[in-house]
Amino acid sequence: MGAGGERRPALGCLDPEIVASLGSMELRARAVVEGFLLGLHRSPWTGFSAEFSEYRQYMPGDDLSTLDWKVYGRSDRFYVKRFEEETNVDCRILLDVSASMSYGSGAVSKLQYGSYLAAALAWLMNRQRDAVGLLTFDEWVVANVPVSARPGHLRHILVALEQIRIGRRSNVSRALDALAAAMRRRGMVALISDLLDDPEAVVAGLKYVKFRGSEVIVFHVLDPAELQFPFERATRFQDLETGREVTTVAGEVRDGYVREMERMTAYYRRELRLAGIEYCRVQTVQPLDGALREYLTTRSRR
Amino acid sequence: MSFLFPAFLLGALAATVPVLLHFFARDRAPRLPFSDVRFLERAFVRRDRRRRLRELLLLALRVAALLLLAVAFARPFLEASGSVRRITIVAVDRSLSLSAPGQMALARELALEAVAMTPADESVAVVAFDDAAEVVARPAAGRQLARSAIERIVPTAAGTRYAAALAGAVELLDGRPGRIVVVTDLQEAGWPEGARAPVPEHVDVEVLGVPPVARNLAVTAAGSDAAGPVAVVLNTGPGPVETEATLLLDGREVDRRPMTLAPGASELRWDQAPDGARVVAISVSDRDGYRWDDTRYALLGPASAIVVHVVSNSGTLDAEAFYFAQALGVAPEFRPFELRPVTPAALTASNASDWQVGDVAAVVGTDGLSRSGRERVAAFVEAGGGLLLAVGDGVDPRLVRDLLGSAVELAVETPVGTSADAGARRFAVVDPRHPVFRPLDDLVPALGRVRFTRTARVSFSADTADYSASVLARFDHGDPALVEFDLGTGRALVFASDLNMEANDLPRHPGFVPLLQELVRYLAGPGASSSEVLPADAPPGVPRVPGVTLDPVSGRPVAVNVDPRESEPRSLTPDGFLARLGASSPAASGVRSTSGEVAREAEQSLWWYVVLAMAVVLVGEAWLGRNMA
Repeated sequence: MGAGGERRPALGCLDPEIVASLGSMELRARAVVEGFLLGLHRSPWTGFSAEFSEYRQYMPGDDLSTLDWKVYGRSDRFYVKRFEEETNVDCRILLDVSASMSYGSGAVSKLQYGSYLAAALAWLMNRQRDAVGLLTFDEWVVANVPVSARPGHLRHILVALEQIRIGRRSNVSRALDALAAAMRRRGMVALISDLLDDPEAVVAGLKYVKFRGSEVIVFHVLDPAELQFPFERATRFQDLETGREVTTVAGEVRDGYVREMERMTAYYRRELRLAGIEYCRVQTVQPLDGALREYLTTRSRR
Repeated sequence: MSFLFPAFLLGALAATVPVLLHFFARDRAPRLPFSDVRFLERAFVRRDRRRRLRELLLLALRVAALLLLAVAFARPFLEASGSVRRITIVAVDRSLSLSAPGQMALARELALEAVAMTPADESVAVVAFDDAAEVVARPAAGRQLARSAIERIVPTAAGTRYAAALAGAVELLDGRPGRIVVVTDLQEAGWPEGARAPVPEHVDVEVLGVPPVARNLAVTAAGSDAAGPVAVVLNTGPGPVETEATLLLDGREVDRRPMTLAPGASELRWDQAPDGARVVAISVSDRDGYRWDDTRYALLGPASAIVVHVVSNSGTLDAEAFYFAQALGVAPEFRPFELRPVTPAALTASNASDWQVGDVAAVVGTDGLSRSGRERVAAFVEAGGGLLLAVGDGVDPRLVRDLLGSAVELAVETPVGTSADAGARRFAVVDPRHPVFRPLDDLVPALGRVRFTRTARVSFSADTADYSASVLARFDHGDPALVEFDLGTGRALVFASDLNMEANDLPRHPGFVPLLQELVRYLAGPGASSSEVLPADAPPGVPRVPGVTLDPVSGRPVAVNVDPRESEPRSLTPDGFLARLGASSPAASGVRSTSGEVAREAEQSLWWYVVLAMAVVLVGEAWLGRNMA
């Protein structure tokens, strides 16, 4: 299983600004996922799981164990049963709610984008019968919705996402340590963060989670202004987390800033790939389907 | 370091503007919340430091430019200090009395010896003087310049004025310590009666004497009366001497006769009518005496009257110009004056157009004097005319401010002081050898007895390229009494009192008539004041050697003759010479008290370097600013 369908142009309902205009988190999550699924040729989760999906006439080469002998007895024809995959993977979504995530140069902040992405992932996971949980954090764990595959559990996660408040400073590695300590089963971890923390500590934390047997995917959410630094004039830049101010002529320091930012993202990409961790850098102006596709690619490995 | 105009240093306060802007306007950058500033802090801390350094450098350059501008306007100059080298100034007499054979060579030899004896750590300068001082070698540590300058000194036909020589040397010292070595024949005529030369206390004066000639023959006067040409010939020797006298009429030799000259002055006559000749020249042969005084020239024939336009409020000669008219009316027939009264109101540009160069305007009243009239007077003086302004009760100070043109800024306050509150004033002649006072001889000291009950205060702006001013006489409280202005090709004399015995008793004194006549003749220009002018008084374009030449300005013939007193080789002792020296006082310098500083500043011209430095700073500021943009 995987994102085996053809890529289609992003649909309007995957645009973050349009998603933001929708009423509730549930609606947003459904719109994102349904819109995303419309772009795929077949269901991403048909397979060898427990729940029946359809009958198909036997063809040479089919697994004989899938033959439905009862149908054969009634109709004297060979049919094989197909099942929707039914998994028992524990999926945990870690959403960074630190103050730096509140930054947004456009209509959607990083935190909004991250929460939409988290909601869409949760919806998708729930549709996939995976157990899903949510953990929000800044320098400490702010909220924790336990992992569960119950049908009504998705609502708890969406409500938790609706109630997100901006936190304080960021400490990704601490959240990862707490998560790793709490994990009982191997599963899947999706980290949504701007990773504006100590890169080495973040990578170390992610490696530890990976070491504990979970698949890890990192959604590195950044604002376009953080990447391009389009400012020109002398400006007092105030750090959203520390309150510290730096006065500089933006146009003059742009090249150096962009270079430093690229260096950081390159570090994450290189180190995480080496550790077998998926790294996906997304900008808050990009449609959400890319992130979801990345998730499905990773999910297919389980 | 001192400043000529220190008030401009207040402009340095402008340098605080960029400083204030730098420290108080820099926080106006808008605040922008940002996710993380660590990259700005970490990645650009070096660049930011460099930028801050450049900002400070830029600030420093801007402040420096403003400071330099203020300093340049303040015109800095370096004061003479104690560590400055002493200067020895060798003042070499080159007057007529050094023109006898061998005398100048001896003077040069003494001067060279003085240079050689100067200590090695002193600078040497050379001043050549006759009736004026000329710096022929400026102060220098080397000796060669001084030696070559001395070798080039040659005698002139001018007289001797030790006061001018010493003043020139003192000015050259410019406040620095030093020594003045005067190489001269110590001629007594070089010190007029009562004349003294102020010398600062830190300046030593030495005299190296050149022996005077034993005997000199000179023609001290020449002319023609009804009988024929006549001359006075002087033999300064102790005994009679054989010589030869020559008579020339219009340059043609008419007679040559051998003669025996007795000691002292002798009259020499020719019973021969000049027959319409215009110039007579009489000479005696004298190979051992002074060079320029052996021949004397005189202009013959009736002289044309000097026209004097008397500007008085009454428009007559019987009221406020009465004594003035009386004084000029008793002039000898061969040197007459023609007085033409006019009212100030009638004086306009149109009806004053008949004023000619060589005429004199005497202004004793200004009622109704229009701007057009004042401009006419100023233009008249500028073109070569003469103006006598007597600041009496009839003169309105407001109407004379621009009477000498806009450049002079003449300010007159009248009356200043009365007999009741200040007592009677006296006045003293500053330079008895000025052409106005020289013919008065013994009458000059007598002018000091004139009592002034009311005087005006005359002030004027400092000399410019447009004119020069000098005070010829002062009242006893220091205010100028008689001021001469040279404007264009003309001149003006401003007398700070009246001439009609209302504010003084000048008309009662014996010097009144000759003084007024000489004042007017002096204002009328060369050839009018006398048939003879001294070499020093020769107008521009006329050679300063004895002879008859046409004045290119007035068109009149001018006879240039040497000062007869210069032909008398009587000399002082060195002690008698040094006794004429006096300590200088600031008051003596009068309106020119800052001329030393002005000259020093002009000589150093440090402001040019300051402006150059400011230009360099501004170029650096522009370069740095562009790179930071």
